[in-house]
Amino acid sequence: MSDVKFNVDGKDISARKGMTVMEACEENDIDIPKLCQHEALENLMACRLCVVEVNGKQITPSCGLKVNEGLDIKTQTEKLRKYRRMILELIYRCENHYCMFCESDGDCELQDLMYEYEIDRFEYPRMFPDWDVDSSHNHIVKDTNRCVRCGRCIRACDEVVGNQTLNLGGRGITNEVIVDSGVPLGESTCTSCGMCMQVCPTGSLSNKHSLFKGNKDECELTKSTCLSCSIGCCTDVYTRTGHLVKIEGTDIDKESGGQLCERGRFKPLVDRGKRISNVIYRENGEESELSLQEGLEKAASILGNSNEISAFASGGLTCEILDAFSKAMRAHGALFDVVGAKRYRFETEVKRRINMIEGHFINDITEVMKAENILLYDTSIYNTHPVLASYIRRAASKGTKLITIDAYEDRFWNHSDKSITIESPKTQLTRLVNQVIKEGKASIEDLSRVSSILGGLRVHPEDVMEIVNLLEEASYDIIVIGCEIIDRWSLRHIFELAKLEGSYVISLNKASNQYIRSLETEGVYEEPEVAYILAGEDEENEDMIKLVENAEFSIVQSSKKSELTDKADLVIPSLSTFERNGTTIDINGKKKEVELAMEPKGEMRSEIAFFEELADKRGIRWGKTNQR
Amino acid sequence: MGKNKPKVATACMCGCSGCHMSFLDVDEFVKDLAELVEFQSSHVIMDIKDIGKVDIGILEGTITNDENVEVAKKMRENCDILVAWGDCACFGGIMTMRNFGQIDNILEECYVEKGDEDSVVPDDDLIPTLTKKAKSVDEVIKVDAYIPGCPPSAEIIRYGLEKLLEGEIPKLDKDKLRY
Amino acid sequence: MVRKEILICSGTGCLSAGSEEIEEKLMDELWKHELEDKYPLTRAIKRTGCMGPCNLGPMIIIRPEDTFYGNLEPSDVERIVEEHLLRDKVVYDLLVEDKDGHRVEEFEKLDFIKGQKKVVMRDSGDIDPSSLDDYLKVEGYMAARKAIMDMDRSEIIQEIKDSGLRGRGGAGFPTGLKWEFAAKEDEDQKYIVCNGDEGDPGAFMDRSVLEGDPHSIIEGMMIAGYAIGANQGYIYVRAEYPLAIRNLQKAIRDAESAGYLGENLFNQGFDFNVELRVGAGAFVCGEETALLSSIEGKQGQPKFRPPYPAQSGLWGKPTVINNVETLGNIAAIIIHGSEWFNSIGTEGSPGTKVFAVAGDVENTGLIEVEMGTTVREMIDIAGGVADGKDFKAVQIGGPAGGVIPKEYLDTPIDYDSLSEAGTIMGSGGFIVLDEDTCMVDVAKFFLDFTQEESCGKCPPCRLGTKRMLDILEKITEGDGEPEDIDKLENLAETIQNTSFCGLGQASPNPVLSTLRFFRDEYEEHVYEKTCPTGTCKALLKAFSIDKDLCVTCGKCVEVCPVDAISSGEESYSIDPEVCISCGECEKICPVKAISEGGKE
Repeated sequence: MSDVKFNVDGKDISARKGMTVMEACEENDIDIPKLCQHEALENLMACRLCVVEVNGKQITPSCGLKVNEGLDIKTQTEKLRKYRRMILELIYRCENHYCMFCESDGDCELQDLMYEYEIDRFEYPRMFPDWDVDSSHNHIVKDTNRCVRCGRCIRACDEVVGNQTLNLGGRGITNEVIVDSGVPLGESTCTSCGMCMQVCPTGSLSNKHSLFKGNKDECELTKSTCLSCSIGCCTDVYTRTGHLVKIEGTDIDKESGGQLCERGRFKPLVDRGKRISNVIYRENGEESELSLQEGLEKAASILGNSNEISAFASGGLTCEILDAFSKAMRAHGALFDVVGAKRYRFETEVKRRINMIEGHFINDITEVMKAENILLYDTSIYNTHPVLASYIRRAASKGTKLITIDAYEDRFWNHSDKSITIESPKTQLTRLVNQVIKEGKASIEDLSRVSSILGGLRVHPEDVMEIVNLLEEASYDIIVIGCEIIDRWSLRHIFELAKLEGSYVISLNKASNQYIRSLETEGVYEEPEVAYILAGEDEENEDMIKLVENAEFSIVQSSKKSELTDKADLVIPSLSTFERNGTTIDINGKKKEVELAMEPKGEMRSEIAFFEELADKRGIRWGKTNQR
Repeated sequence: MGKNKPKVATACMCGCSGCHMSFLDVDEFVKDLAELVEFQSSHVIMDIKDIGKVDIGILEGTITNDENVEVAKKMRENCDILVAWGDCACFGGIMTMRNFGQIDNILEECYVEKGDEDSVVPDDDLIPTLTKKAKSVDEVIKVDAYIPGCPPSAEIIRYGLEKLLEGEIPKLDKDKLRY
Repeated sequence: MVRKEILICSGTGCLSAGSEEIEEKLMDELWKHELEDKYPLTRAIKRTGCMGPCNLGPMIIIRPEDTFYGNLEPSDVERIVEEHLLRDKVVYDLLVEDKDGHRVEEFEKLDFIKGQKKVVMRDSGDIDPSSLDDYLKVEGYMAARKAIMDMDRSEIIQEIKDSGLRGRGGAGFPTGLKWEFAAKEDEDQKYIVCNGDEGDPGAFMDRSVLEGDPHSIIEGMMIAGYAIGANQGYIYVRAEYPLAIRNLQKAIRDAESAGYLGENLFNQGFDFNVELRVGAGAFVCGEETALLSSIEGKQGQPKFRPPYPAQSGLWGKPTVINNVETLGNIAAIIIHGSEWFNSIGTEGSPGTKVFAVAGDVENTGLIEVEMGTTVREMIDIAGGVADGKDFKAVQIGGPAGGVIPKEYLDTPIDYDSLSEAGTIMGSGGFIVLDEDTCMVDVAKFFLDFTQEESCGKCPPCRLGTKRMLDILEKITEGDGEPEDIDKLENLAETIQNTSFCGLGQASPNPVLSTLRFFRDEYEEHVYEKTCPTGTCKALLKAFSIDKDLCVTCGKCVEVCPVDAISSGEESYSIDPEVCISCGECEKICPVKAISEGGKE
């Protein structure tokens, strides 16, 4: 990229061609005020605060002006300051901004600018427009009284989340951000990702669970990684006096635009289950509390006296904990498995059997945005991997063909070009498609014949035809397989389809930490003598509950009270996600840091040390603790 | 000795007296201040409430009734430099939220709808009549210096007073200005 | 006896004045006199587009003698048929009078028509807009044939450039240049868009052309499309123009089936199609980038330029957007040549301009004049100020324009002279204001319009105009403060310099222009708390009765709408607390005993 030289406020600066004046100024630490511009979003040029003087005459918004050789830019003339002050006063006094009881007091871009421009008095009286506050949503309060119409939320919802829930409605002074066609936010197509709230410069969109818990200056910030799913979004975790205040996305990841999902952003704030702080031991209906050391001894002796042990861990733990737990369990001769590992094992097996090469698998989920067609098996990714779902919606909005196949409702209904619902097993359609492709291009009649041979399928031959045609025409199509597909036959058919058509595959997994791919896992005893469950903070897992119910004796290690801990014979406390330090591996195979945001509460200080000691009971040692 | 000391009067109109409380937070500076200025009247630190001739007049609160109007006008007439303390005096503050509705409806709602069974809207000559709209001080009289904040911090109040004593009209720059 | 043709104006204005009733009556009469053979209805009575002199509606022209009858009542029709059609005798007393009181027979000799020069409105009022045959009879599609068969693209563009035609939508950008920019773009798909989103209050010239001569617009677009290499055109019309939509739809259908639209036009391998897009009537959609967004199905909000539509417009493709009136000139220029066009109008602004003349003039309606005609001449064509009152100003250019006062009556109407006088050509609004008009009220009217029609994208326009309107309201209600005029000027400066689009930037013009010429009137409102014209009711003082003059006739008591007047033995009296200063009593008092004032 060639450099362009120009002058800003008497200073010569250079910038790359194609940049805007605002971007160039930002790089050179020249401050230009703005309310509507946001790096994750397309420029709207609406707020008019970033206007600059060009070549001594024209006044133009710097976020829209591209750098050009020899430009003479002034950013802080008296005239510009006057205009900006006027615009700020217009915004502040025409809507109902009352800093003293606003949640965003201290975190507000409008307020910062009011201070920057030293507005200590107003020329015009307040207008008192009558706006209703929309508090219908579970997590977000939408308050038009504090809205500056910067359009960031609308653009974020459209461009980043691909959801187009928010819109602008009305003309003139009645202009406002509306939801869908004017419904309450809580009854809308909103996916509750909270991106709108994150980009809002004022208190117009705020987090119900963080209200008045402290502004950013009063909080401690920890940069960490979300363990809600295998996408592993980067997070900014805000805490104050050891309590969680809020979680926000960061702009480190350009494609995600800094978004998070409902589970990553709001769930930790909402889920206030009872904390397990002591070891609980249940015997003959009696419940007793033990110290952590006593609990460890108890667990060691029970494990030591058993032959069939099933150890099962959540997939939402750090690599280090999974590692330590697996070693400790193997020391006691247990079979070891992790949530999601089964699917991975099946996948490996199928790949081997049909000789599928690794080249078919994409290790960058943002590639879906470049695909011509997306074939999505299992739309539950809307809930399990919401950020990937947003990429798929974005692609579909920009013209990528999206075909969804689901046994239940299509959760991409307003974005999919073709929505196919088939009853379980979902593989039937794939099988049919494969059949067609193998036999060469078949007519509708042929397909009907094939389908009747395959036996009473409730699939329209036209649907099959359409998929076949689509995949044959496109040069780049991606098949996304949701994590709820866990039978070998389904995987085999989908993989075969990919192989035949030369399509690429993104295969999702329930485990948030893809370290499970490196761990040695196997199917565990379904009715063991002892079950040792290490729970994470992900959704309650049925397999875990079944295991606890079927075992003669069950040990559950968890940070919060749950159905699992209620049923266990021995409950051992663990740390919460935000009390851990470690690493995780995301869907793309990238290692990410999980940082400690809050000091551990209760007796448990380190699970790793705990597992090391547990292994030590069988004379197996590794790591630092044992060298001590 | 006290003859050349500038005279100061403070008064609170419709407000929470929070700005005056914040003023008391200047702690030992009050002592220094007492050396430097003569307080003519102030409801938080002395008994005299009647505003007399002063150099510096300080007002807190919003103008919401005819008594407030009278106090504001009296202060203006009696002082050389008039200072508005706090968001209410400077911008109208939280009290102006009553302007969203009609005053009669608001009184009705407060005293009758949300009151006891037999409560009525108070009607007594002793009670000042509410103005049609709640207003910031500068909507009624001329203001010379603005010290916004809810409340302005003790440091800011002190800064403002020091500037005034130096003979300057204080103007808060971006580092000092806080609403 | 020569067979006559009866043209009946069926523009929107005449339809609402009752032209359909006249037409029905006419048919009844023809039937009654057994004239159906001589006057087959399909040919004898022709519904035309707007004839221009709207306040004379309903109106008819009888040809070949071109006799004009206006302000017709159904009862007049019988006489016209019996006398004029049967006996070939002009019904003298139904003719329209000229300003000297003489009856005028011929349409062309009407005061209102004499001073005009018709180019764009050449066919409106002359042909049946729903008939392609009619259009073909007036050399319709001959220009397109000439352009596509005999000229190459650069020749056409050169011809339009040479003609000096400037965009009639308001800004006056040279049309030929715009075409050239788009023609230079190397893209397979280009578009030509006709901007018919006429939104200025009182303006209806685009509507009249679309209603009265839809084929001429299609032809203009076709030529433009051929010149720039576009084969798809869109006409954007607001939903409030149902007749224009109907006539355009029929015109497009007819042109398609007659082969004037579609594939391989004139066997030259050029394809061209036109689609109609109906807008919801947002004022901002008249702004070209907002209009394109609206056609694309998005919200009508302006976009940043550059890139200009000629480079990247509709769906990112090079697009030429021309106003209806601009396109209405194209066929005439191609047929008669740029030299002919240059001979009309002034050097910097060749051609004609259609104005929608409204306000306090004798004859309102559409007037097409040569550029360079003075404001004074325009007002003369319109029959002068109504009711013999004095002229005060004329508002030109709609909500983005300004006023021209008495001192500037001889300003020639062209782009540059108007701009010097502080207003703009705009789309052609021309509102004459008499001495009784309050200029603050005029500014308020226009600002109220822009304020409501602001798309809301940027704060200076959305909020600034509302602030200005609030101040104007304050002033007209008698609460004006000395600093309010400064505040208006400050706000105006910020809005002009920082608003997103042209509409926002021009929105303070009505205020600035009235302030420039009538500042004293603002000051009277603010300082004296009086409205010199009595328009601002809140500033009127209560009326009172002079006891010495009152004859206790009681007429005032009868007309008082609020019962403010009570009777007494020697004199009546008005309760100032009750009086709303409507002035009815003053008007009716036979002895002039009642006058304003006395309240304070």
